[in-house]
Amino acid sequence: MSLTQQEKPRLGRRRSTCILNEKRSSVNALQIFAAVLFMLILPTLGGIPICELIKKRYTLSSAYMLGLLSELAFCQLIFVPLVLIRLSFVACANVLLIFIITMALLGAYLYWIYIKYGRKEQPSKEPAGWDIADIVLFVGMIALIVFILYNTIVLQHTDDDDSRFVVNAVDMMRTNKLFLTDPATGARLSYWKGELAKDVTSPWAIYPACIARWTGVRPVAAFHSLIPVQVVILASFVYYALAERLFPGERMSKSMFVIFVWMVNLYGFYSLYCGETFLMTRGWQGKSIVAGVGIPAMIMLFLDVYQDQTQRSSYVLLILLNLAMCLLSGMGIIIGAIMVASFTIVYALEKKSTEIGVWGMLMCLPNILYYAIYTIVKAAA
Amino acid sequence: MDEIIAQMMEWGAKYVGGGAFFGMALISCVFLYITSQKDRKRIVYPILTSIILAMNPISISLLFSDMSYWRFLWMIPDGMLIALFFVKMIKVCRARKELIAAFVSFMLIIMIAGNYVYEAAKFTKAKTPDKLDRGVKAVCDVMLELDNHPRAIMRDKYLCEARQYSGDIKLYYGRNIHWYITYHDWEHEYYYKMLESRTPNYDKLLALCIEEDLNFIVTYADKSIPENVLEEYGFREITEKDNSIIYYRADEAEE
Repeated sequence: MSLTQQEKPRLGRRRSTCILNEKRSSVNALQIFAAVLFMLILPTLGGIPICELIKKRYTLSSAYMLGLLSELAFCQLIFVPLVLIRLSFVACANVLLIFIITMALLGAYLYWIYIKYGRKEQPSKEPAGWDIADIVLFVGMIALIVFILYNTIVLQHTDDDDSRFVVNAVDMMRTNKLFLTDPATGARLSYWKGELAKDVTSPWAIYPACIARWTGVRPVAAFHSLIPVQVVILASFVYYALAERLFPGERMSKSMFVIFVWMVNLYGFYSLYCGETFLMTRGWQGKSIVAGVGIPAMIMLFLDVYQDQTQRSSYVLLILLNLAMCLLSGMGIIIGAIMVASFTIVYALEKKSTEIGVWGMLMCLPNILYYAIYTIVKAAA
Repeated sequence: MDEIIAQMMEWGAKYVGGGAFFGMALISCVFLYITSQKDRKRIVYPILTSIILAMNPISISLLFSDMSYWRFLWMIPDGMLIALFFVKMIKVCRARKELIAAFVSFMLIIMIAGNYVYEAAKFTKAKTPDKLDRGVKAVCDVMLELDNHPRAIMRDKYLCEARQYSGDIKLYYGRNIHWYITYHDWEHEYYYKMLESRTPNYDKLLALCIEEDLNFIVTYADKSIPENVLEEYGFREITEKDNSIIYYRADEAEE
């Protein structure tokens, strides 16, 4: 919207001191391609080495979930120390980019080997043929997910908490500093005051800011338009994987399960505080992802532990998931620890297994560490 | 302790809303407990344990003084429990017609008992990928066209979204005025209340702008600043957008 000559007083322009210039609202085809590359393709390729490591079948959903999980866990491991030593945002983004590309290249190589030479894989538990009911329900499930994705893209819902989460990303791209700008006013800070102490140990805002940097979209658009799409896809994969543990080999039951979970999410606006509301109305915020994706994912992995407590890969994945939950939100640090403790206590007693107990304690270590760091940072403010 | 329990009950009641979905999740837990020893041990017991660990008065008083403790109720995964219950009930059906009827019935139960989020939560059509209020963007665009780094005091509507649109905009106060984000300043609150009042004292507000080197003031269209006050402090009216009037004072170095 431009002013008329009469409205616009004559004055000189102040030179911008921004390190990274902000563009006005628009997304072009190249940016969409870049978003698909960084948010879908590269994580999927990056998940293949993890599938290889834990001897899992190379499926699209497994690769994507494991790839994204390893990215988020890496973010938490690396970003927290980098924030504490006050490294720049660009340095963080470059470190993450190197990780993502390395994993993707490794994954592409492993997949090429797989295509060329095949691979020993566990046989699928699914029956060979598709029944009409299987097809109808599977198509129905996909249609429902597409419907939710469509609404995620075309609809908007504002939330006041974005005045911290989104603005943190905006400011770090602008100033190249991590959480050292007051999101409320724009004033520079010498220390992480108030709620910013939570962002030191749960620096989720850095990830969408990195996506914004690599794709060229504005950080607010990365948060509001790109991340929710990724979350819906990830959630759908997690729900289906959870269904595989609950109804192994039953295609119809799995599709029905996912349909019902999404229907509960769609119609679950029974209060402003429930997990369904958070996921559907502010799915880009870390705590919403904890509620809608992290908690079901944790239950899914613990079902694997219940199935076979000697499978070390389940524990390793749980550690990665716990790190990801810590990245997403301060609530993730606490909820992750409580859920790990609860499942560990119950399963260790049920299976009379000290191994589960030991792994449970190991899994809680990151949460304890990050909570301690948060307490120290907050006390020092 | 009584106070904590009373607070827990209050927050719990707010969380469950009408109670239908929460009730269905609890029914599912009971169903799983009764019908499947395996699910009792691997699902119900851990969920109950996590709630007990998090939401007893001792934990609350030791760890959680924050009012957002109701988030621990997220550890009861409603969607998963309700879906599990419904699928297990459907699996009991043998005939295809029974299966279809059961599936459709459960879908209807969810739709009738729940609130469709896209309507109930007042979603609107997005015009741009930013998904910000168009009025906010219009006002910010005017400010940014005049100054690459506007320093502003703005009415309440813009406090949360102006800086999402552009980090180049600096605000005298933002959402910290509502005790969020960084720190609450009583002086900021004083001027915030002044601007939001029915008859703002613009003499004091514009004096503040001079003192704090703010070059924009964005106020309500029906509470315009008198001409004589504008002249005294060197502000001028630029335009009206989004039921707001934008006033600007050029920096002395640039005039």
